[in-house]
Amino acid sequence: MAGEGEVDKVTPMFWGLFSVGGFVVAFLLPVLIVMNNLAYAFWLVGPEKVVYAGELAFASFWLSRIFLVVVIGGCLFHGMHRLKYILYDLGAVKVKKVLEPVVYGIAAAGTVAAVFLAFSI
Amino acid sequence: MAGTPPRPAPKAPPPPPPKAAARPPPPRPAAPPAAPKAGEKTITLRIGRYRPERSEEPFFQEYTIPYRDDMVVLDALNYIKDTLDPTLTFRWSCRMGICGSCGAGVNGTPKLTCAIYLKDITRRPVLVEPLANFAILKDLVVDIEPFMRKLESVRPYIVRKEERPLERGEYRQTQDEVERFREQSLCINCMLCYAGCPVYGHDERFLGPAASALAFRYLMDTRDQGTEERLAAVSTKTGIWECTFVGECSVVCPKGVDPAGAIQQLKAMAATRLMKDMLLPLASR
Amino acid sequence: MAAETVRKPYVRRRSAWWWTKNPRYVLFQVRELSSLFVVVYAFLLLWQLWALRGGEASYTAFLDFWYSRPMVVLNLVILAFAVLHTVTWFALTTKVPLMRVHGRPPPNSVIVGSMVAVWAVASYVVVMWLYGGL
Repeated sequence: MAGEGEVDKVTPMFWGLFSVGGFVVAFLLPVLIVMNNLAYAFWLVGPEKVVYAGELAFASFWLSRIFLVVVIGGCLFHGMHRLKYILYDLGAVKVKKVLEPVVYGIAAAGTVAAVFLAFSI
Repeated sequence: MAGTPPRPAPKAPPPPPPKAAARPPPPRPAAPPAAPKAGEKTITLRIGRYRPERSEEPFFQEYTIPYRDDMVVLDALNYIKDTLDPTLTFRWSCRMGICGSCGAGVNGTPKLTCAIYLKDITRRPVLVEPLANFAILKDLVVDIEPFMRKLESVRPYIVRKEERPLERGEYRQTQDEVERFREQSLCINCMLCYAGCPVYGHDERFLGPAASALAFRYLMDTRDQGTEERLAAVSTKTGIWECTFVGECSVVCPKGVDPAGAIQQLKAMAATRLMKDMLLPLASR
Repeated sequence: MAAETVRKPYVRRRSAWWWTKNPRYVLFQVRELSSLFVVVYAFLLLWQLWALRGGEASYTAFLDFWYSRPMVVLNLVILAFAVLHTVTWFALTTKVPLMRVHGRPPPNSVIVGSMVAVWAVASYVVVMWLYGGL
């Protein structure tokens, strides 16, 4: 029977987070990957930015902390939502009731960890 | 009047020529002239068959027919049915891409058989199968009942909170207002989008592209006041949230309905409405 | 005597390789696979923050691992998927118009163009403000 009756109120919320995360990843991830690893690996920046002192300076800046939390949270909520559908395609839809809390639980835990780490350095 | 010369009696009509004794119509040639004349081009089609009364499994059958550049797949199917194999069963009607009856898988792609020229198909033999993701009833005919139920489930008609009395006249719309739903109003219910959708391919309960686009068509229509119930109808667990925006539905649609875009907009509408309801529960009362 | 109608709908099973039959399905799977690498990167970032929080010795050890060849290669792979995400995401947003002009959304070039502009500005801000330039 089409549309099994009950309105789904949970998925829209995670879809919203997935969408916001999608924009975060699209706008911010490429530059972060370059600056965080490839820039030094390919001689675009010198070692002073990359060693402990330099990285600590970066991570102590208030905007960087927010930036890291936003990126990590965005990556997790976006990526886990999509991964969930990949797993459904592979047959995991049978364990939907278990998979959903696990998937979003991981995303939430990772985001909380990011807040804790970013703001305690 | 006296004195009027008598009119000559009308000649009796000549007797009808003797009818030839009624003859039965000439029998169809037992072996139809499928063999082409010398130099005539031919084409071979490999067509999906299914005779539930004869066998458990579908099978393929190949037919070789004379070929002309202006033939579409439907022409070939009709030629086969008319001259080679009257048991071949398939749906068709308008032969001009508007009735939505003739959907089939041509070389693995969902197509309207009346809208694809044989000359544009590179694979030989031409493969014609029943529309993908649907249960086969017979040969190329698939079961469309669940699809019809889905269309009904989105209430595909103008829903009003309060009816407008006739004296107030017609509902008026500007061109811009019509443009908001014009694309989705072009749907001919041909189901090619369902055949292309991988989500429908693994869950037949999925509401699907056409039904969702139909809901969107009414949601965007300024005359309609059924937003809440329609959003509820598409926001079920087997509704728009199963869609992963593969986008194949919009690619195969022969009428440019863009169901993929419609579904993403429905997601945005449903999500924002949910947030508004949660954050401002008294606002809409 | 009419033949008896037999109704026995046949449901075809879908092969596990269904997605290889069509280049758009393949692109879809690759696009979705980018999510796996995005999640992996998030965890790498968490690891990096954890190592940083652990002090100089802990972070220096982390750096030896972080700039090893396999990790640089992994970062290149993740970057490729991140760029794929960005490109396909911008294309997908053209399907969800946020505004309409005369009932139609703005042309795709305008939508994608403004996204690219935002991406460029965001990248510039990150490099200049957060990293202090190149």
